[in-house]
Amino acid sequence: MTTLERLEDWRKSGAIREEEYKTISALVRKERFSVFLELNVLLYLGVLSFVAGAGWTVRIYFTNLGDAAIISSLTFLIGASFYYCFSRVKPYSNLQVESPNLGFDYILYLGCLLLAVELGYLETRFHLLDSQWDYYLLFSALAFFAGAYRFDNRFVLSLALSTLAAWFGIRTFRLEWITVSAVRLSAIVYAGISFGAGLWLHQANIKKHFLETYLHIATNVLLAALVSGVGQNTSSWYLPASLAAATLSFWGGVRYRRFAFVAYGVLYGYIVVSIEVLKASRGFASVLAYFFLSGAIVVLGMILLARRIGRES
Amino acid sequence: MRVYSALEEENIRDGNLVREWTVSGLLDSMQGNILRTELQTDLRQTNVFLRGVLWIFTTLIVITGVGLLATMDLLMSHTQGAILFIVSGVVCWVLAEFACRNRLYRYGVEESLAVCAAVLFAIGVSEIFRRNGEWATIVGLAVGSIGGLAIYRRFGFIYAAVGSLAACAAIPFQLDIGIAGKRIAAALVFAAALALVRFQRQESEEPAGSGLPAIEATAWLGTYLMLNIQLGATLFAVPAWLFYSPYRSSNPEIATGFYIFSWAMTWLLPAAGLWLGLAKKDRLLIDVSVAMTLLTLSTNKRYLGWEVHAWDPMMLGVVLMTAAIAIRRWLQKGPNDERDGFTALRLLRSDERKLAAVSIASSVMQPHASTVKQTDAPHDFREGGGSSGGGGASGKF
Repeated sequence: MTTLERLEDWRKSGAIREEEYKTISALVRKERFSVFLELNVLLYLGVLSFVAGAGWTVRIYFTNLGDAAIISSLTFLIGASFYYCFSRVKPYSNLQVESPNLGFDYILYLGCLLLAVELGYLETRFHLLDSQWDYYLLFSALAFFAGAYRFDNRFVLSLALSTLAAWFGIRTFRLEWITVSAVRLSAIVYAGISFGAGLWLHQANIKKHFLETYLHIATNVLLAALVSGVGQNTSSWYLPASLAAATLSFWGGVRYRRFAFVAYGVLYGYIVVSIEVLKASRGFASVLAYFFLSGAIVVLGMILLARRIGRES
Repeated sequence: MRVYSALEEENIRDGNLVREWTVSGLLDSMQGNILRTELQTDLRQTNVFLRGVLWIFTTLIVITGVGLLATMDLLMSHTQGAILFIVSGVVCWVLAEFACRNRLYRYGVEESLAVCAAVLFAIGVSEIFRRNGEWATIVGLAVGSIGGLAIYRRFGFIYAAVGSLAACAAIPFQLDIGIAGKRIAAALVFAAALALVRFQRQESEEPAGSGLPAIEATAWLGTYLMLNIQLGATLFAVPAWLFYSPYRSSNPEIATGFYIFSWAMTWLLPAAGLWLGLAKKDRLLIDVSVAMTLLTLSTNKRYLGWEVHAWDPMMLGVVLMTAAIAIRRWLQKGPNDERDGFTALRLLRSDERKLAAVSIASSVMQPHASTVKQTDAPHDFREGGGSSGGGGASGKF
């Protein structure tokens, strides 16, 4: 039985109304066919390609083109992007705001990326902040956060979060704690701040739909940092902390039906346990036996979980 | 032949559609619940993340299980090793069947077992031919390809059909027939699959869960990838000697005729795919054709031996953005914001979820790892951060 035949049956039995039948059957017959996603992807790729080309051109030709030409062109493009966005933006709301048009989000994203290119160029050429140059990253991150919230743009929010992460990483080196554990600690602090900020903004009903972006990034950074700590064997608190974080991710995922977090909890938790167990293992056969048995336990556990919570997503 | 009945496949297909229509507001939640109850099967399904975890850990169990058996006799001969792999493959297949009889559907476990069965069986048969030298890989790929096809026919896993095609197309690369011959033979494999699937789609109604559009799109892409000989140099910086230039041949094995033919095909395939995709409103074919077009635009200069400039990506970016905006405007100017049924409006919620996923993923693709390796103030401009959505200011200084 085809979907159309089924729809017809439902219409006849009164399960769906005439107008619903018309709307849905038009989609099934492809009489209405949306290319929304395809156009968005084209715009996204276009922005990435443009900025990559701009960065490459500036790097290769900055001696030929001269500072004035480069800075004025980049400033013009950034100004035009932001002018476009500010002139068309809808009034601010704490709720999700639809973009005024398809290209709007990407023009803002383009402006933000070009701003980052220009700031990088300015510092490289003129050393305005000199040894404190990493503050450009902090400034960029704050500007991107402001843009993400004002214009309700998830791409710019991701950019802000990753730029802030870079600042945390560099800040560690600027303070000359040039050790892996220092970067790890800074990653944990970053994850904590992102996690806290995301939850606080969610509680305050400010752009609640941004929460998942915060949580995905913070959870991965936190778990990766803690797991690497267990692997490096630098401190005894990494093991309980990583297990606690993995458990929390797993529990939160089950509790709120966000199964990506269940997967994070299982995978990172399994890696942590495996690192600890394999430290004490002797011989290749015992390693294989461990993976065989532990894998079986995980599969059984996951099947039980999947049966309990079904196929919700 | 199929482990799941046609009715079950249809119910699952329509159940997923009803869920999508409900979250998109085309049906109210009460209607959605009633219709989904009507479409319920006794098959056990799970969501994509748990499915992925189950897939990974089942594969881990199979690999370590076979490894454990192998370590029991480290002095195992080729034949004994081959028997171990073949028997393990058979056991995996039986277990996959058992899992499906227990009503698992796209659960990760039965998928992993079926795939492991085909891979282990292929390795086992390949081991038997190991003594004959060059035939071992060819036989292994051929058996793997047949195994993938068997999985698709029995369980309906579309990626198994794709894997089967890829394994079959890899066979010519094991033969001593020259680079052009290998590429043409591999492209013919994909083209034959393409013709077969298209014929099948035209002749009869697509059965639910057949995945024929996905297989056809893969065949288009495979044919293109085999014929575009500049792709490796452009995307992966593969050594230039592997490729041929009509102006300065570095590889005489590839004849000029083939070079021109392949260049022509890099334009013809995306154009034909796009035309057919738009005519049938086949989303996967449209998407693959657009991807092929982008690859053609990226490799065309190298094909023609023209100089590649730093600003080329900027030009490509402008073209892409302009094209997207122009298409959107053109569609919006039509009656009801559409032309011939095409619209730039979002009709289903799934599009928004996919975009949200892309935006989260964009944060992962940042070049910050290179940044934190720097310990001193910047001396030389090395912007590059913008290429994947990350602040250029954090690029390599």
